[in-house]
Amino acid sequence: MTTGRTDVTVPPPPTRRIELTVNGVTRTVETDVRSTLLDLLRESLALTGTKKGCDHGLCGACTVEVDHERVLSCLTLAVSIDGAAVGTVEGFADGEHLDPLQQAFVDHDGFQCGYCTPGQLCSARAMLREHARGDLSAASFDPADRDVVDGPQHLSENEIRERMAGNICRCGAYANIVAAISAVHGAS
Amino acid sequence: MVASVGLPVNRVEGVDKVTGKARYSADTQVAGVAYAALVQAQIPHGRVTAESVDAAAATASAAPGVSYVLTPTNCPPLQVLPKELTWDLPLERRPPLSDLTVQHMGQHMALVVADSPENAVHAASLMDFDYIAAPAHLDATEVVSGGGAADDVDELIRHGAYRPDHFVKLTDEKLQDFRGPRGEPPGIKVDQTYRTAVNAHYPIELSATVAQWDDGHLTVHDCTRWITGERRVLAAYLNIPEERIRVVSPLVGGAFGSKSFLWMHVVLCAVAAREVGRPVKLVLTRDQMFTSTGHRPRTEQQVALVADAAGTIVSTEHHTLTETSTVAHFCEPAGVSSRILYQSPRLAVTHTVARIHAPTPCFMRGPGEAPGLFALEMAMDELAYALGRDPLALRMDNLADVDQTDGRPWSSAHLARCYTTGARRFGWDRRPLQSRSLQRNGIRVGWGMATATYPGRRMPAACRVETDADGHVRFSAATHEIGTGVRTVMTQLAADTTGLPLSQVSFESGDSSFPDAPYSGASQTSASVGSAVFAAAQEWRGRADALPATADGPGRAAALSFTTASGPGPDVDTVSRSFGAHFCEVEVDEQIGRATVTRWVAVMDCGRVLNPKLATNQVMGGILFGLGMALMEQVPHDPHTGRLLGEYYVPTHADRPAFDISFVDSSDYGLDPIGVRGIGEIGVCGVAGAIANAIHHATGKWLRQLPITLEALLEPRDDDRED
Repeated sequence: MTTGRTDVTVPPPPTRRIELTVNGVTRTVETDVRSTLLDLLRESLALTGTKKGCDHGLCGACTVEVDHERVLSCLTLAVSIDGAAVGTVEGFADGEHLDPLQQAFVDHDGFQCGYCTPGQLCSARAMLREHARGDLSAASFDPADRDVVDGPQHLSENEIRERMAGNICRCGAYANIVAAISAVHGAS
Repeated sequence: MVASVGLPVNRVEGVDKVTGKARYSADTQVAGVAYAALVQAQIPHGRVTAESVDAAAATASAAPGVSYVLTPTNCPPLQVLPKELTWDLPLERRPPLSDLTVQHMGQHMALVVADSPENAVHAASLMDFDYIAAPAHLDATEVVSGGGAADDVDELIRHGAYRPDHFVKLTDEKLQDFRGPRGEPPGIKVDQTYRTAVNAHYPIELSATVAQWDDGHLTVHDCTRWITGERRVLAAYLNIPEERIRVVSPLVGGAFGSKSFLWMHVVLCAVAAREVGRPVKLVLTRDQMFTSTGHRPRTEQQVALVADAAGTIVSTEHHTLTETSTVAHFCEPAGVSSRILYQSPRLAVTHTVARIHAPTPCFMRGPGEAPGLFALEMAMDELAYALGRDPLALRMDNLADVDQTDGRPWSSAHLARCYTTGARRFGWDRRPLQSRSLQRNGIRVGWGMATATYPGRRMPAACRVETDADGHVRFSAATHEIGTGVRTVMTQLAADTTGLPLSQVSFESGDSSFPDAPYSGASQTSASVGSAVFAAAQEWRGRADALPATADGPGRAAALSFTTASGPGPDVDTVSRSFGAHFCEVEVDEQIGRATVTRWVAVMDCGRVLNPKLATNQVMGGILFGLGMALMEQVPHDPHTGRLLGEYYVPTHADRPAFDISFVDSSDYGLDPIGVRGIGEIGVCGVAGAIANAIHHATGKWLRQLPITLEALLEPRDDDRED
């Protein structure tokens, strides 16, 4: 049953057709202009690997890559990134072949419940690229002057903690997450 | 073959968790699903007018895409739960949307169903009600000082205060307990009041429900860690047989005590799905999580310890005042460990619960122990300083070698080893007793310690075994993978006991069609479900050995598929209890009021360790949970209106200390045949006390209210005031 409708005709919400390349596959979607990238991925594209933890940019669980930069998909309106390349956790592995970061998370037990893991992985992969191109963090100013000028050559544990601080793991697997990222960074 | 139990085996669902294949409730794909959004009360106490409810529902119904609006004026009747479910469990007596009163800020007032999440949220935002506000009691002290007169016990809504006899269904966990002489003996005494804040579980997974009806049968995909309980309680509210309800809880994205005891939104989602005749999906918002899925209530704890000149404790008192809602009973059992942890010939423990106009609280990791040991362990340090004794030495001198509540010995207790090993690994012997004596780069440094303890628990459980024709053996039980690693350790246990390789066995959880298991809480899953899996695997081994060598695939599979059950634990003359010792270093920058936990040593005695990789991870998580409780966590609300304000801070990567976690890996066969006790709670127990004690060592200040905020750290010391 429906509770008494009034006679008012309310216009449907505007939609817009956008094109996104998600994990290498180009997709055209008709989206509600109010939809976040997070809801679009999960509810329209059935890519449920990306998780909703707070829906307002606090927890980092929804982190994905947009044009190879990490973004919070819950704070990104889908219509605002028409034409972009989106990378999610589903795109990490090459078939059955896990990405080294994925394997390191498994080996170092970099999770417990696993809900924040897709966000931690997307964030970590982008963070390693940020470091490689010389981006600084607040922790970069702790060590030697040379690091401040050239960017730290090696990511210390403190650097990783600082640069990953936007991804909350309520289970508290932080030490193992950092160990996993360090292992991949050290091997590169 | 090589045993897997005791080895650091990777999590069996680990690959699913790193590839995005791991499925949680909100990931459930159901054809034709509609989306729901909740509307919640904006006052703490009063009522709404029926006219405004109907007018708001009409407005929402006219919004784009809306198919249904469920309100108190059109909600089909729901049954009141039987008393056995509500008198000592935090289940709400009053069914949702069953009257027009408001009992707390954030009470569900309506559920809007639409064709998209955006349309549902928009329509819900249009619903405004006319409230007739009534005076609200928002504070336990106010209720108790107002006379504390309690209502008739059978009312759906109650007021005043009460003194519960025991904790939930655990009749030997006495909440009012006394022993020894009536009068307090003379001696050196500390008598202080300690306060803890409203804490939220804050699992990163938002509670999500997908409800679907099919020919009178209800399937609920829900983030729950109590499948069988949820089925039972849903059946009671909806007045349908349990057999017509299936609850599926695939993986749970963290619970920490929440996601149990059936919260009201699940009932409303099921009702809405039945009314609209299609599946309905409801995902709570982060703000709604604070008012709709339980929390750890505030406590005010008075602890009085008396010792003789030699430092022997002669009297312990621990009096707790805490809060519940007006529609459900729950008591945070803060004083239970004080009955047990240190020898004390005289004891007085009481708990008083005030019913206030706030959401219903529930278990949160280390229920009782987490806030209770903060108070007790800080009081122990205060006593040590009053005596001029080393805090560790005082604890070692007052170890209880039996359970003082009934005189029974521990089945396997190694607290002294936890103390000495932890002290050695930490370097405690180098600690100067004097506070404000350590510094690093101009910043104060303090070293603190505390004891951890938590009961060993076990409940009945059952397990199904299915042997496939290809020889793969699947074990299953209606338990839950909430991140504790139950699937992994049960697979290890099943493999070793059957004698099969890990790759040939698996363990499934998360479906009420599996044999019954208890809720995943109270650190009881390894002992409870583990006993059932162990019994099933032994049975499998016995049957397999008895089979003729000629048994073919299908025949063999049929003979090796069965269900078995295990009981609540052996009737023994010993008591199973876990212990541990925490040692930590905290840096305090007094210029800016910042406390940073830099180093943590924990030694845990929790029975046999099935998987050290997972166990270490879980203990680290418990410590971080306690770190948040100590320094950050409080649900911020306006004390006059109950309205939520600001954000809830939890530890991040940047807040994590360097860990050194180890175990006294000693099997305890007093509880179960596999030698385990639980591990989920023990990590958090004592943590806040250790941090508060370290902060005292760094600063000379006893900060007895959690969380210890920047403001508290900036407050002048008592000594400074005297200057």
